[in-house]
Amino acid sequence: MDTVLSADITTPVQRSDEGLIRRLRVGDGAAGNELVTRHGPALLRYLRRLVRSDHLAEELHQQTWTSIVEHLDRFDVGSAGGGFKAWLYRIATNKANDHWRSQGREKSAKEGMRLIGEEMMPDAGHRAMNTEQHEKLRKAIDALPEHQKQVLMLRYYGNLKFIEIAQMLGCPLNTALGRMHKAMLRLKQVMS
Amino acid sequence: MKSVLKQLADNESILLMYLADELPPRDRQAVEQRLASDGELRRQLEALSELQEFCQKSIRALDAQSPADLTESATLRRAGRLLQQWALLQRRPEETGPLTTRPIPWLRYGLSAAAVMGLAYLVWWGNQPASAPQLTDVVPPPNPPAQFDDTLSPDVKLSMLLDTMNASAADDSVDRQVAAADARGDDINFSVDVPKQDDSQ
Repeated sequence: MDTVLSADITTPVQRSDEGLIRRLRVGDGAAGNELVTRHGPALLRYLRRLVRSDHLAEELHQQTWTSIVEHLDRFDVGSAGGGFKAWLYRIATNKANDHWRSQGREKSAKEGMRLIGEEMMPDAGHRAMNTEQHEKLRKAIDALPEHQKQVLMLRYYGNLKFIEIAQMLGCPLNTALGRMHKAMLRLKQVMS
Repeated sequence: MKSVLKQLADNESILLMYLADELPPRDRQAVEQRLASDGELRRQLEALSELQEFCQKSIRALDAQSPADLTESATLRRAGRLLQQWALLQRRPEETGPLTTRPIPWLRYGLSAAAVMGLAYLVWWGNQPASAPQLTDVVPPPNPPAQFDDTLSPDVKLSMLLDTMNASAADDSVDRQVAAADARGDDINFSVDVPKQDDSQ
């Protein structure tokens, strides 16, 4: 972790997230761009897998970064609460959960319609992925229970520690690990 | 460091934490000791490692099939701009900060008031009737004003020079009138207006 700003400017090695936040706070817009370049693509993929809609994922992605800038001045850079990335994914996950909660009543009906529709005609957003295996995998991920999928995606896209995932989702470490194991087994089962 | 093993209920959880390298050193050592002596646990570890690798590869392949499109880059640019704008806002208070923290800000009000009063005085002074020197005040210069007395001030010298030039111009005008009258054969009558005296007195 960089502690001296001047050293941070001249050091050629990759800056830590916390270093970038410090620079952002003193008005360095390039640091903000670097944060987005570093975490944005994976976060967007995470949201896409989570909500199964490109458009909604992009909207939630924007909402997440908006929430980040709204609270950035209060973010404790030195805290050991998982750092910036854990915070970023926590916000994104909460945004997705808020969305599902608000759409809760419509979700089950739409879900049924969506699965029927997918069997007949693949989603345009995924038409390029035409191999049978990939289509199977995508459906297998989509079919995972929400809590299992969250753990799996946070682990793969966010590269978060299990303990951070458990904290983020507000469940015991054992539960988070159990969900991960079940999700992986289910994927393997579908694929083979 | 606090032991995590006690929180973990089954072998899968313990091995997942071991593979993720998230166990404290002492716990890790304990797991390795068990692995060394337990063949079944080693088999479980191997199976779990393969399962993890399979899922990782599959998801990576899935992502490779749907590469970043235009909307993705636009979404990322939008987020980048958002952070840049926020950074700019952080910069502004620093630029304007010193003005708000002056030790005696009221001094500026006093100086401003003084400047306004000074300006008002200049306007008033400019509107007063001009106190130009009267003709009666002007002493006729000696004739000819070939040389000025060096003891005179530059202003007086300038005034005398201007009077001489005016007198010279007037003489020229009279000369021109006389020459014109000669040419016409007129009698020249330089009349002087003298106020008529009342004869009745």
